[in-house]
Amino acid sequence: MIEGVAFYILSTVAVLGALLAVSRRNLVHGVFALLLFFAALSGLFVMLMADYVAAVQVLVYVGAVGILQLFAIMLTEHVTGDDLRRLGARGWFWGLMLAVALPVVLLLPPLLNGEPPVPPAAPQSTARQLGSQLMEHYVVPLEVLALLLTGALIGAVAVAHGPEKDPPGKDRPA
Amino acid sequence: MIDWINNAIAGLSAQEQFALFGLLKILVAVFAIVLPLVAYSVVAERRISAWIQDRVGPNRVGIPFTNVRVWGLGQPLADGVKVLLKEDFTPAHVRTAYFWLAPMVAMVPALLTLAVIPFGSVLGAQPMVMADLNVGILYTFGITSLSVYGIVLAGYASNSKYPLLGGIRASAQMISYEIAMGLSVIPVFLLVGDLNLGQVIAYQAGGAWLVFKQPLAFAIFLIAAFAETNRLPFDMAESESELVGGYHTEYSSMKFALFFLGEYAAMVAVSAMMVVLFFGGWTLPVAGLNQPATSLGVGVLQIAVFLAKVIVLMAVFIWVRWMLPRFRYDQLMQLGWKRLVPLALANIVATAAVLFWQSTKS
Amino acid sequence: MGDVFPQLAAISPDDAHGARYLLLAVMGVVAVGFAVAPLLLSALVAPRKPSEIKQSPFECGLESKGDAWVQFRVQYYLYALAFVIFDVEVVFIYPWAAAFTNLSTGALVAMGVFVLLLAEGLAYLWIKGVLSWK
Repeated sequence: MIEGVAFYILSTVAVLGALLAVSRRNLVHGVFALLLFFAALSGLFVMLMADYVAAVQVLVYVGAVGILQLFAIMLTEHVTGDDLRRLGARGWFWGLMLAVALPVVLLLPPLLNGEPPVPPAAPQSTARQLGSQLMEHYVVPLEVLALLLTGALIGAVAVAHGPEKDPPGKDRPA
Repeated sequence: MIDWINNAIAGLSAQEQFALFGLLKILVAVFAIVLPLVAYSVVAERRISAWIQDRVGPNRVGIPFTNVRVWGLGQPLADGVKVLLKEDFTPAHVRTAYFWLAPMVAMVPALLTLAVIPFGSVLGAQPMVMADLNVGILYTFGITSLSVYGIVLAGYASNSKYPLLGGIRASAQMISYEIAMGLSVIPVFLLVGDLNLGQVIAYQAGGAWLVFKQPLAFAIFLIAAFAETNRLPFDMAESESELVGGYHTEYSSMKFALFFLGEYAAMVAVSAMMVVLFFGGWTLPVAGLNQPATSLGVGVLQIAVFLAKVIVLMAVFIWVRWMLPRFRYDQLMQLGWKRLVPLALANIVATAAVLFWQSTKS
Repeated sequence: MGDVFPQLAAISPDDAHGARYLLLAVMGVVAVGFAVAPLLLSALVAPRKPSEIKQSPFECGLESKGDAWVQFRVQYYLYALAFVIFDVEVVFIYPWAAAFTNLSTGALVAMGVFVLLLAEGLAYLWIKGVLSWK
């Protein structure tokens, strides 16, 4: 009973948060709506017995990605994007495509097998099991991931840093 | 009394007992332990600073409506009433909703962190932890990272220059030291082999405290803890000589008090984390206190041991604040990224190598 | 304490997972209440006498000029970027650390490579001068 109530509350918050995040004109409002969505998602992960993923969701998405977005917004001059270009953008088309494609890809394997996925049992020590799994079966993906992250870091810094700037005499930003 | 309690709980199922005692634990821990601890750490800060600076400090306020002075221990009550009755003015230019939200966000994460801290062994069948999560440490770091938002929000909501600058500075500082903090404890978990905080304590009960096995990890964690709680020598958020009050410049009355108390609550939380990770939690290697309690008295004693350790660490926080000058911002960032993070990485590699060498030898 | 209160029972491990998080949610509600209650109380009892001076932005001698929202330095953003990347990598090191005691030599080498890549990212930032505040 409690599970059902919790699921509907969390789902409602998640959907509302996501809707607010894409519909707000003010980017800062958008970020906080997105954080609400991330937090609700973390609760849903707990209900799926994925404790570790839930904690990661809080740590990485709610904690880190939100801050990154806020800092990115603070780099721009105008936070309340009344930009006309935004209305004319075709983002909604690709968003819709992705929204349709994702459930299909996720649901296809169980549908083809003809049996619904089994609800997982309560984990004994999630992190320990996860570590063993990671190191036994997924070593190559792990290394690829490390490479990807390092590449992302270097690329992002190269993009954000840009060519040498700061002409003398001009006030630098705060 | 005992018979009455026994009769009362006899009618309840295990689930009902769990719910009842769970709720009881939360209410007692928050209102009977954390609240007084936070309130009196403010007094302790003022008395210790006075002592360090050879002043008297607040020693007048005693029991209300009498002339009894108990070494100024009535101070938190007087401060609370004062702060409640001050005018809470909201400047016209602020973003009101966020302006109200920010002090709450500053307070809540500190309390939520405490939910996974084991503050005692057991009382009867009830483990003395509010929510014993398998991913304990990751949860605490996740929640700790949320406290950045209180500061960012305060800066954004205030919509004036000093708070905005203080807010963004402090948040950049906090995220930098969060990395150092997260990396510093990995050697601890290499040794323990589990992320659950109860297991960390059990490991330390069987041997030396981890502060002796991992002194470098503790040093990095301690320094990062000062930066995370925005305490001197890293109080870039306020740095009153250049930013007036930093992110809470525009705040007054109760909203300011929440920021102020939030800082102390964060100190309680981070001290409790250090006690669990490095100082053996509720254990003490004398008189059988290393084992989970088998009687009521020992259970209570172990909670007292835990609180005593937390109080000692908080005294260290206060002591350091009045001893060290503030870092410059560039020095602060340099220390975080160029010293602590590489050191923490090296510590992980060294610990793993030593552990591996030991396992091959045996 | 079982000797004093024989009726105290432990909850079965099957229920424990949901129950822990339920208590966490209760803790969240208590924490929010802990923060909201004083604000509401103060809003009820505190006096309110707004005036023009009180409503103006804080200034220190001189009135501040222009909009409060200025463009911040790109450096803050780079720190946040490095923070996110390192956060993600830390998340992968934790399970390895927890499982370390029963892992093979290969796992040690694999994580060594992982940490080395992490260190390389840091070294790149260092050389590029991103880490030094100018």
